[in-house]
Amino acid sequence: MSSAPLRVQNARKRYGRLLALADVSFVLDKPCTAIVGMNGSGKSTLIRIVVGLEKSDRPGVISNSGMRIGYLPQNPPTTRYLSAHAYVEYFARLGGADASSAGRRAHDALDWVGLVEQRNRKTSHLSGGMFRRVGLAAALVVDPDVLVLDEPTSGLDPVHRASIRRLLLDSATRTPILFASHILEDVGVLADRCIVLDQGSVKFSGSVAALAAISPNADSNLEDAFLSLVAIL
Amino acid sequence: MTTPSATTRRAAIRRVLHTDSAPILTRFISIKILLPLILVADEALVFSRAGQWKGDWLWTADWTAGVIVLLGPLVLGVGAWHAACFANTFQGARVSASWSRWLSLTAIHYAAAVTGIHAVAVGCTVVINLIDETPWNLVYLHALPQFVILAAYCFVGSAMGTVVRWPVLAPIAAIAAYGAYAFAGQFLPDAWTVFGGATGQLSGLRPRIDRDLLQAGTAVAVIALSSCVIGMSVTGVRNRNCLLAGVSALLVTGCFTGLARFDQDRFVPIAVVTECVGDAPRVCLDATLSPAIRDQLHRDVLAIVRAQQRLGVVSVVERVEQISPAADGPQQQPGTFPLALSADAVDDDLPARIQALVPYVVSNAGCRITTEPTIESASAFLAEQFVAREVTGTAPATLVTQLDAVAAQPAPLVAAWLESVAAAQKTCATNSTLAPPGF
Repeated sequence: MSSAPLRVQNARKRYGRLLALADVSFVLDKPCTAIVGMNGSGKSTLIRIVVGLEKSDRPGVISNSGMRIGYLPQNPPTTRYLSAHAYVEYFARLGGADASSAGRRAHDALDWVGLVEQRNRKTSHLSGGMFRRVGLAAALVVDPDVLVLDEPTSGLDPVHRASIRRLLLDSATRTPILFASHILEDVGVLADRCIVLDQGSVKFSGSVAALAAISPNADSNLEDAFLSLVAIL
Repeated sequence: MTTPSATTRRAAIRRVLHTDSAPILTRFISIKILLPLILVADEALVFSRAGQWKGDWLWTADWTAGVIVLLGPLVLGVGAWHAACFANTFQGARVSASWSRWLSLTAIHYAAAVTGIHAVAVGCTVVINLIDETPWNLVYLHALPQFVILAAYCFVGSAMGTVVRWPVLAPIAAIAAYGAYAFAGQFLPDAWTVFGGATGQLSGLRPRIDRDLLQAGTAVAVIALSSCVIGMSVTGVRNRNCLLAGVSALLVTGCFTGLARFDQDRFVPIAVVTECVGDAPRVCLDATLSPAIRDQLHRDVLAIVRAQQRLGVVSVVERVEQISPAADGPQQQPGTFPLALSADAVDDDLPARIQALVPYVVSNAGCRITTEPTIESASAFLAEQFVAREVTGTAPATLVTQLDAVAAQPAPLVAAWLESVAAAQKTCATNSTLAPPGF
């Protein structure tokens, strides 16, 4: 595992006339960092730049690009031909595991997310929450240096969200996590630090407690603080 | 009321989350097993032509050029589609996987599947024909380059699909491969464009990818591609796009295959020989014909013989199972007309195999014919495809009727044919001391 933290320096992205990201910088030095913002604020673009699926307009913004990243996309595509075990095993093999150890690692990862009994079911037959957990297992099976998640709990019911949150809290003790979300409840439970994006720019970067303190109300509500930051209130 | 402990609550949540999988799903035969079985059965069926090509299977077993031209682009297109689907499905793994690792997993798996299926198909063909006691021959080794070529197509297709990850790439790749071959075929030496390796050349199969074929193929490709794009625009679903692209690739390759096969069959020159061997005239088909044309000619010659029977030239038609060398001599039934293939200018073991293909004998001993062609169908066939062009007599009594792909009227064709056969019979009756009665 790489000891140096992931550092993003002046990430910038423009789609035509739209400036999606404007010189965003941060260091992933906390166990769990959340990127918070409204829809279209640039969260997913930043995540995709961090994992290398998209290039920043400025080259060399990722300081430690050689580190192994486990990535869970916002809507990971299912495949009707692969079982959950085969799906995770492929990730393990793509991550460098040999054929003999990939199966064992896939089994362990599915066991960790509580889906070992569902390992032979086709991924297309799993519920959304189950498949999100399979995706989490696939992200973790490569033994990542950092875990990057794009909206890991969006679209899930409260039970599955609680399950994912529990798994992420467990993961954060071993692997630094960077996740994007607009669900402030998740941010409050999971994150040690949060970065608020608005129209591609960083509006806030600091601890969750510091964000809550911005709230104009006396009860230090995260939602009110966020709304005041993005000038809704 | 007591509050459940955290462990109990977690167990309850776990029970909710762990819904039982539907056991019926596991009872279906996996597509990974069923699909290769279908492909193998299909390929073996095509190779063996439902047993009609037994003894002549080398024509297909070392069909290297056919693999290059017909099967290769299909494999290329499907490989590109497969790799694109793989790249989309495992996009989450791209951040931690090297390109070499990625390509080796997709391409090697795909190449192993394709070459494995092909090996089983060729193996089935070998087994089927070894049952028929076809002798082992070093020509079988001509099949080996097919596997290398197929693997190369797999790797190229996977590379394209991985790099571009565009589902429409599949039909475009197939079209490009056919186009490249069609273009190159205009300038390459004949040896490069001959189908079938050693035995294929013996069979005289040559693709004539000429301007008409190229234009037709281009039109088909454009239609398929347009359909693909329109379909994608209408559906707008990624998985359907992939499926549509694959179907388009199949459509294009299938159309090209049909055109190429039609073309080769249409332009191969055909020679039908009527000769007198020993005591009986024999109608022979040129050994350089393709099996498909030979099959067709068998039927049409039988139709003509039946017409002769109706006209009183030949009184009775009989079918026997196999022509043995003993049946070729004086012991043969008087008046028999074995229809067999000429063995001129072919290798030593081919005549025996060819003779086994044509087990028909015309005699005056009875009338038992299994196929029922009519004079109308024979006339129509002749009118469409052939005309008697040349009649050459060689000693002691050989009548060669050279047929070519020129349109003509049906009635004169049949009349010319019957006259030529009657002349041969008359010559036989004159020259042979064992002339069959009735001529």
